Amino acid sequence: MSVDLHDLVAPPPRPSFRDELWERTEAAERRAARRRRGIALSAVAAAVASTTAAGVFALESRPAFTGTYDRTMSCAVPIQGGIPVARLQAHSTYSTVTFGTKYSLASNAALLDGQGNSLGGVSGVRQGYGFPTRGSCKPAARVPLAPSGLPLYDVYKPGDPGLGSMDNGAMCFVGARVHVRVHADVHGDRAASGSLALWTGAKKLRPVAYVHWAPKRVAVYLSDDCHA
Amino acid sequence: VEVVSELALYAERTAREACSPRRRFENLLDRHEARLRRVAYGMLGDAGRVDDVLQDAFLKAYRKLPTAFDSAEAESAWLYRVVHNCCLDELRRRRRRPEVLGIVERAGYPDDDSLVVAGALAQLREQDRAVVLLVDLIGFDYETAAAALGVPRGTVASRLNHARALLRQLLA
Repeated sequence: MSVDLHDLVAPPPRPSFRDELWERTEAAERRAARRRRGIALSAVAAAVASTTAAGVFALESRPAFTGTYDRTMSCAVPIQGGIPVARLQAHSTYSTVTFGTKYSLASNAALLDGQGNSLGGVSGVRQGYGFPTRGSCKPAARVPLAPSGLPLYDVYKPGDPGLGSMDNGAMCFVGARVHVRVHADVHGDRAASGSLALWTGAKKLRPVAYVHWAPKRVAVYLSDDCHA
Repeated sequence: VEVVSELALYAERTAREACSPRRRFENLLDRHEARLRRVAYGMLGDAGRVDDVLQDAFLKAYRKLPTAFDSAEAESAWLYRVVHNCCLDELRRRRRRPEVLGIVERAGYPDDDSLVVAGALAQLREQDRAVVLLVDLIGFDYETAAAALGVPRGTVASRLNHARALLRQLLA
């Protein structure tokens, strides 16, 4: 009698398998809640910083600049939840009140990895465009600066929370490396408009997300790899 | 006779489950766990590691569970992708620590044929093994398998061709 693939029998789960899973889930949720509380406090601090000075990203430090900034970088993306994940934040100006105090978030289109490290972006604050000076990004060939067939996900205007102001933003499943292109028209060190393109793929690159950014209008295009 | 489409049933089920993420995830596991267990065992070839790897995968999946899926296929592809990636992580860990290199365990195993199949699968390349498990064992179509593995449909077809031929030889 011949043996075939369907003879493969999986081992039965140990009796406590589901109980252990939910115990671990609850423990992870408690840890995440503690982390979120910490992040919320940091976010308030970042919001204050964004209204006053040189930006929410730890981006490149440059002398005052007017012109076009256009750079494409290839960045390594760490694995999160078994998959490399890039997070997209995209919103126009947005205000929120926390403990009776009003804080304002700058208009922003930015990519982060699953650990919160910047993968580049463009925002409405001074010098708030470009890539991090330290990290895993290296120069790469340009990727197209257009939606490239991606469907329009949403358009955010001032007052819309958008992606990433009140939540973690859109989570995009990507490959181990991503290609990110940041394009910004800069006047006096401040971006007047810009675009952000995210591509990934082991051999052939494919578009994952694209944002056309302006201070008062942020249009987001997302592929099926992204969940908001 | 009332005709209810599969899509309508799927939409109704997901709407019903949307009220509680935990309930929704439990239902998701009820639908997929047995098959995921077979895939994980086929990928790892080590019965003793299946529970731990699946737990890691489920934990990650629960934390990143999207609010909704476009279709049942999208749901399957997403969940299998998470499990597949956790299996690959485990295999990478094994390669880094050769002292725990996987062997096909007999513990708790009543079925010798299963051991033969697991042994044959272990001789395939990881990417070929994944394709043959998803398509031939689980019954995914090429598109869903491609989505689960994050590769083009043509790659699934060519890997499957290669894997089937080799598996036939090994099990002959």
